[in-house]
Amino acid sequence: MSQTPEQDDRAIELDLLARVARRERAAFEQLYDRYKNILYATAMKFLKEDADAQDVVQDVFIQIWDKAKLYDPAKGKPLTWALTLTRNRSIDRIRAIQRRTRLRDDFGKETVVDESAGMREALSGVDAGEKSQILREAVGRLSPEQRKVIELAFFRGFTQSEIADRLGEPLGTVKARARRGLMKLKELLGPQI
Amino acid sequence: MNRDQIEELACLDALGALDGDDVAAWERVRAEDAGASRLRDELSEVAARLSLADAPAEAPAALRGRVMDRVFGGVSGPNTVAATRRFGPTAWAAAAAVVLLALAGAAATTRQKECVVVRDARPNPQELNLPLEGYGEYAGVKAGVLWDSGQRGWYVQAAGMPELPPTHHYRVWAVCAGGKVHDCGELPLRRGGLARRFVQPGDAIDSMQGFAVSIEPAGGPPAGPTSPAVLISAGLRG
Repeated sequence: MSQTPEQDDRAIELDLLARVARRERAAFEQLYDRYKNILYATAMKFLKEDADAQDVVQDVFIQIWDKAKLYDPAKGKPLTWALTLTRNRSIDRIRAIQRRTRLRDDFGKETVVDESAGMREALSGVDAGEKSQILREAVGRLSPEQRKVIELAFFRGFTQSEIADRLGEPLGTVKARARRGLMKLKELLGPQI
Repeated sequence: MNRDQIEELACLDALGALDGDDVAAWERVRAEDAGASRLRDELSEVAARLSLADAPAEAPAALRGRVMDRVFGGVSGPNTVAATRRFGPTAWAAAAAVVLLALAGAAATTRQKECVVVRDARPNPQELNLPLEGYGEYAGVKAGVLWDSGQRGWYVQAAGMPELPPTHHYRVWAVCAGGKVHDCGELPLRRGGLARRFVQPGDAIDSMQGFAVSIEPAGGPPAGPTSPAVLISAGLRG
């Protein structure tokens, strides 16, 4: 029985990661070329600034090189692992930036410019574009309240209690919105991921 | 605990939002219920892809070289092409008269991963912002280095930096005792003359004296500075 493209991808990435764990440079370079745009796009989504996103992606690849041997296939796909590393690094960076806000004021108001606008092209052809479209449609089917909770939790790094405080909603409400929102996404995206 | 509650905790964990007593409660559930762990892993797959809902972006080509350098320590030989076209001779002469970073043989060719290790060497531990002084055309640049205790690293940043031709870029150097310099990477210039770079600290250098910024030819990282510093920590002024 032939494998689906998704299964092929996973098999290739598992093999690459295993070779990276054995310190094979060629495998690391292949993995870099495979993931660079996805991880950069992810970091940009969080950080909005090219320089910060590049720093995060660089750190993530160093982490992949150093920690590949600790990767456990049972806990998720290689891409999920890399995306999680990127998310965690980005959240760390956001928190650090927030701590420095007062000091940075000395440098004047920095206009946050989406410098990636001109660079945004198809990730790897139609396939990536289609996936993005599917994701956007799925997210669009959540209620605004569910989207808000997921946005604050996943992209801003707030905990459930912090979100409740921020929104002025009971903790139970926040938890329920997170559950309904993410479970709905799972239902909508299940076959695609 | 009913199914809804388990799903709730699994979702919050996948989003990284669990806190308080729920952390321990969730650990207990996962220890007893393999299905709960599987659900959490599936939800993590969903959450991890949320960031891909935006239009895709393309990683800058130069990033590849930096990542490979950091991981494998490959350092290209020094490029001696001077960046003179866009900078008047007066400015260069003024800069050259102040500090020359290019110390023969001083440039580290060890792995940058080991080099970009600037220990917290502030004279005053309470001081978070160390100024950088500019020379020549850079006298009006507002620049400094911020220590981030949370990330244990430095933010080298500047406002009012002149644009460079595509053939050159700004580069950050950590300056250590004896004049040794360590490459800390490119200082990317953004719109409006703003520039910032995070320098991750480490523990291999115990005599860091400050930072400097020079103009270097584009391409692979140089083995050492090939031009005078345009910005430099006040304490290093020669």
